[in-house]
Amino acid sequence: MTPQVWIYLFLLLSATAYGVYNFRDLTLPYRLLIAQVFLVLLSEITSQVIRHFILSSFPVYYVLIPALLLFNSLIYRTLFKSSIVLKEIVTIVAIILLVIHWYLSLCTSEVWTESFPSISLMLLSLFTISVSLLVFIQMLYSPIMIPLQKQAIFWWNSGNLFFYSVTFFIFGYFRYIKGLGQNMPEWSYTQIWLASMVMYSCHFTSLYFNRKKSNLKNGNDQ
Amino acid sequence: MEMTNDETTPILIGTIGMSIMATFIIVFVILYRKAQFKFELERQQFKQALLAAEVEIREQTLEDVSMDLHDNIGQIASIVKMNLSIISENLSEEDHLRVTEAKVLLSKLIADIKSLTYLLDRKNYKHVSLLRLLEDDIARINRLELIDIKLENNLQSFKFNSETSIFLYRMYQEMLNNALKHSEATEALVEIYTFQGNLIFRFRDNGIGLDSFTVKPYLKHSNGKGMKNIMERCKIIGATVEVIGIRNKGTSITISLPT
Repeated sequence: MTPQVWIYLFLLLSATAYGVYNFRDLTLPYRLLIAQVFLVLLSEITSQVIRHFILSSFPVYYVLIPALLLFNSLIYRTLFKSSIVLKEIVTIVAIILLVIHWYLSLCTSEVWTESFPSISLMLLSLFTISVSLLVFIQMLYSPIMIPLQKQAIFWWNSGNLFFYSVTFFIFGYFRYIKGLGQNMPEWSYTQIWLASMVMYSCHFTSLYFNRKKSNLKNGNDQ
Repeated sequence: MEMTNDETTPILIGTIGMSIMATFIIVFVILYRKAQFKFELERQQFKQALLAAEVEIREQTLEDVSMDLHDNIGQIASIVKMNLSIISENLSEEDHLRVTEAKVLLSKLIADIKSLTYLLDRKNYKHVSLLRLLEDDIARINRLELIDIKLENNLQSFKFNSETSIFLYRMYQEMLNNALKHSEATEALVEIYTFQGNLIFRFRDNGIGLDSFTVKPYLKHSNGKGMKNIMERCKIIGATVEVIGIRNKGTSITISLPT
């Protein structure tokens, strides 16, 4: 494993450990976030292991992507608690995307070990980017008097927006490059790694601020 | 190493994408700060409206009490006094003396009711200047010899609006009450003047004072109704209040009102 992978795993492990340690002090969306980060940690470890046996980590992503979609939609649902319409939209879109993912994964003839679910990942990215923008709009309509840099939701949402924008951009090229019979350029992996580091650092920061806020008994899920 | 068009396009698009995202975050931060500012402003306005309503209710209650005192208790006291005058004509010397004593006490009671009725009803202040109100009240307090108060002012030509007058007068009453009840002061000074575009109203006494370190928490967590009333009224008229207390050297409360 490269040092980059070790650093990435260490960040995921730290965020999970911090979240588990402070689990009681966190509000529901951030408890779900810990579960999500833990799942990503498990999937990264699994992908490193199975790569040794089948020389591909792609199959892990067929399970991870719908799981991430499920967690993201659940977290956003809890954040949109004041708007039933938005909650319903998030749920319906998430169900449609899950159906599309399983259709693409199961009903197309591609072999899981040879093809990466880039369309599903792009759909997940598109979904997360859209919903995170909605969260930003919601924040503008109902501001709270806590400085932005101390708001858990700001860090969490910014991290998501950054990572999924980068992912959407890179995997937009994935099929095109594969179609040319080439491999993804090295810089794209570095960018994905950097974007992941940024996102999970933001998630870690959001856990920190949510814990502090919960300690103040503010009662606000955000 | 030269890059081909195929390699530079994604980098170019990526750079544009990153720039858009960075701009988005910066714009969002600016917009959010504006939204926070607007929210805070609305909250303050709402708070101020609530305080104003509270003060209005309090003033209305005082007016009602004043009217009740005047129309009911004052009238009853007058009738009792009249009846005592009638009764006293056919009484023995000793009883006559007692009734006369009761009449004197009743006269004092009626005078006190009148004075209280006047003080409680804000309508009475509308056409009287703040300085006149203060002078009258200070003269009354000095007559009672509860405390020796002096008034110093340089506002001969200053025009107060009636709301500010009532507010400042009510605040003065709270300060005086505090001094009489808690400070053990023997002397007090009321200063009223303009300074750097502000109207300064200061009440100083030579009482037991406050521990200077406790002044800020005292203001913040004050359970005393008087101090809270002063602070609420200051907020409504846009004034600031400063309390300086020195143990055994007295307390000074200063109200600054932009003119």
